[in-house]
Amino acid sequence: MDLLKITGLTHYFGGLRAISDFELTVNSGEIYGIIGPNGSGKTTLFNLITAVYRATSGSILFKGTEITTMSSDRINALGIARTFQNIRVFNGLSVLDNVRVAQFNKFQYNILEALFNLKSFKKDEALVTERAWELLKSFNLDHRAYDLAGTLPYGLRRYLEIVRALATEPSLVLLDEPAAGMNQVEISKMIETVKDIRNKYGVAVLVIEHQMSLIMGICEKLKVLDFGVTIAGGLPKDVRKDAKVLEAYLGSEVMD
Amino acid sequence: MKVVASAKKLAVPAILLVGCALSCSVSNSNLVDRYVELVVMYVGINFILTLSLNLVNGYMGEFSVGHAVFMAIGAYTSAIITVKVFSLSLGPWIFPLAVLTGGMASALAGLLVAIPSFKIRGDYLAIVTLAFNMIVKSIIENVDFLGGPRGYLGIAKLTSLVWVFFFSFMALWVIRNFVYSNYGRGVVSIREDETAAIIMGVDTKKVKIMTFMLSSFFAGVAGALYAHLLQFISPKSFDILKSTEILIMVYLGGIGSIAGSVLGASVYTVLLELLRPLGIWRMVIMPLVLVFLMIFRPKGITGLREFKWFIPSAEKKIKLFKHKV
Repeated sequence: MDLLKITGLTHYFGGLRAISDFELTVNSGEIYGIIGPNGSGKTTLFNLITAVYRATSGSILFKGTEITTMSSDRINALGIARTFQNIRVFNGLSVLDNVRVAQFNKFQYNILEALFNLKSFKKDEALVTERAWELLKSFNLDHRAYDLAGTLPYGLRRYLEIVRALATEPSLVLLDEPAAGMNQVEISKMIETVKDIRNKYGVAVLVIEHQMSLIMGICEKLKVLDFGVTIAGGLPKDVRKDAKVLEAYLGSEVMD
Repeated sequence: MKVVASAKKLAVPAILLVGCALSCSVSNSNLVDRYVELVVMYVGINFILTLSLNLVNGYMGEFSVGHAVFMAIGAYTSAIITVKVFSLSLGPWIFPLAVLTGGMASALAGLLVAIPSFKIRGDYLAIVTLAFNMIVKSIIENVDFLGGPRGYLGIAKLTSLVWVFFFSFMALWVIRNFVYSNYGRGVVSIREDETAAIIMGVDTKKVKIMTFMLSSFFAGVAGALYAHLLQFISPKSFDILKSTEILIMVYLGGIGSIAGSVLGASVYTVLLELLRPLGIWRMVIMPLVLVFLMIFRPKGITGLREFKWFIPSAEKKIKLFKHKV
């Protein structure tokens, strides 16, 4: 079954057409890449899927449900989580709490049980904490669990964002430039992490990236955007030879 | 280990019981000066107000400036109950119920304030809450049933040290439980990054409604205690000046901190009393103290930090001290 099916998605910022007539189908457990030069509408696409913006027209189906009019937290509850291009962890919360709060859609206790510190609250809270620890351990962040997220170095904050996204138990994760600002060693570590997300947690990944080594290393399918228009799509090895893609990245030849 | 664990379990009711007994014996004996007792009660009431506003302004990072309005609603509601609805012959036992009802009436008003907060933040929400404060004050001034601008008379002195202690303790315990639950973490995540919070599944609407309601509930409780301590309330007691006073205590003590609320309320209330001999100069010295505090400790005395006792044992390891905003 199609996990995510986008058809005819168009979005305007005033008179600027940021995304036009975008089509995309992501299957369960797939790693799908979106590339394109700066300003081509990649992050806008993520913002449309997670309802930061409302699409001007078009439809986004997730697990067969129309999500274009849903609120962001409901979309998350359905199973879409994301990371951000400019890292947005909750700096004032501890690393552990960042992962715990991401389970907001999962815990069962109601407000009165929390206010009066009842047994059902403590039991559920212990479960939430345990799950957070498990995730932090598998991404080697447990040694910093009690530190405030704002004190972590850049690379660890990137990983914390991924852990936080996984804590919401998604079936699709949107990664917005996970390897931005990383060197080759760090990129190959990130490649392993993205593979892990799919293989260990069974989560489909939609990834935006400029680092071609990451894109070519892990993506099973690719879409190329330029000025909001899809200019190419398909298998990575075909896309890299596509004339339009080369033109978008390198510019067209000047004719004398 | 088991003994320690069960001792910890009993700590909360034990402190509550001992505190109530102690405050009861103090107010029934002549050991403590009546004036000192009165100041202590004001500290307690101000603490409830400060902590409840801290929930919205400190933990959630919104800027609500009309907190006295919730105090007013709690004060008037409870006063009507003790004066008009139930006669005193039913005994002072009706009082806690009146206080709780006052709190609930305030919580309903808090629901009204929560709604604009879905759309607007910061300065704009400040103006909405300011307007709400003015509206309610004018309504009270123009309703004869509530005594109009003359104020509401004939309230019995039902607030005692025991009740102030009881409700302060409950406010502290309940709000602490809230802050250290996933709802409380949701509140802080809204302060840190609201868009990221909602995308990560935090039901920000629900969290905001709950926070505003909890905050106004306790402000209402404090208002009810205040009304039955002063035995007289008028719309003027709940104007912008009163709201400002609560704001000062929050920022003096420290945002996002229960310890800060304790300190802010105590320092402000006690200092105002200590400076009383200075007469009119009091209102020059006190603002100066605030100005210097804001220069040297801009986050308040214990901003974004917490006193160990106020943190649940399971959460104690979290290092709050390194954080710089």
